[in-house]
Amino acid sequence: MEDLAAIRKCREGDTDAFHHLVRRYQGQAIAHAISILGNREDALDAVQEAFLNAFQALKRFDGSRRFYPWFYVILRNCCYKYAAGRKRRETDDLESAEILLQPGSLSPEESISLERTLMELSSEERELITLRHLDGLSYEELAERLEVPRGTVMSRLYNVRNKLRKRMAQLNFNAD
Amino acid sequence: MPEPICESVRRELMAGGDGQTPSMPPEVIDAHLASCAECRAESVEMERLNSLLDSQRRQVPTDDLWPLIRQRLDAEKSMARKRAVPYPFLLLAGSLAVYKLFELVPDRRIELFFKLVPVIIAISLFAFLRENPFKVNVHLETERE
Repeated sequence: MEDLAAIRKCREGDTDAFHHLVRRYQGQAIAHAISILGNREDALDAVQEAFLNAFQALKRFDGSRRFYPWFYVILRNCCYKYAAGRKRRETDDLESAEILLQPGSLSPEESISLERTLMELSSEERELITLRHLDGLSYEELAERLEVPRGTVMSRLYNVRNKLRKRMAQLNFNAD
Repeated sequence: MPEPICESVRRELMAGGDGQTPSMPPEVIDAHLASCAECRAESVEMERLNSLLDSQRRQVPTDDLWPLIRQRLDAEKSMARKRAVPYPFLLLAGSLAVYKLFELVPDRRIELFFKLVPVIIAISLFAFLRENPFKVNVHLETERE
C-alpha cells in the first residue's frame, strides 16, 4: 500500500491502515528519537506519542508532501517535550551504544569513543550532526526538518563540527 | 573587497565540502589558505572529521510499536465514542424515571416483558458504550489531554 492510500484510509477512520505507516517508519523514527534523547526508553515512548499525535493530525496532512518529513516535525516536538520533562540522565552505559551501527568502519573502542563524544553534545547538536552525516540530508532538507532558515543550519553545523573537532583532538582520536 | 577573515573562509570551506555553492570566489579562498597555516590545518582536520562521520551508519532498531499504538488508538476511539454520548448515565436515569411514571399509571396490566424494560435499557447502554459494569480498573487512567 502507498503512503497516500494509507493516509486516505486513516482519515476515514480505518486504524488498521495506520499499521502500514507505523511498520514502514517506526525503525527510522526510533533511531532519530534515540539521537535526540540519547536514551532508548524515552525514545520508544516519544515515538509512540508521535504516531498517536500524527494519527490525529492526518486530517491536516498535505498530500503533496512526503509523510516522513512531515511526521519528523511531530516526532521532534514529542522528543523535546520528553527531554524538557526529565532530568538529564547520566550516560554511564555506553557499552550498549545505540546511535551508531556496530561493527562499523571503526574498532569497537573507537566506535564507543565516538558515540560517547556524540552523547556529550546537546540534543539539538546531536540531532543536527546525525541528520547531516548519518542520513546525508542536504542543508535544504535540514532546514525543513528543523524548521529553521538555511543560514541557521549552516551556522549551527559549523559550530557543532568545531566543537566535535576540538573534542576529538582532546581525545587524540585518530580514525585514519 | 575587504580581506576575508579566517572564520568566513572556514565557513565557506565547510559549505563547499557539503556540496553548497560558496558565496566567496574560490581564488579568494585559495589565496587565504596559502597565507594562513592555521586555516589550512583546520581545514584538514575538518575534512578528516567529516569523512569519519560520513563513514558511520545509523543503527535502526527493530522494535514493533504497533501493538501498543493500536491499543492506544482503540482506547482513544472508545473514549471518543463515550464523549459523543453526552451524559449517558443521565440518559439512563431519565429513561428509568419515564418507565417508573408509566408503571404508576393505574388500571394497567403489567406483563413480564414490560417488567424487563429497565434491565434491557441498562444492558443496551452498557453494550453501546462497550463498558463492563463489573470491571475493576486496576490501572487508574486519567483522560489524556
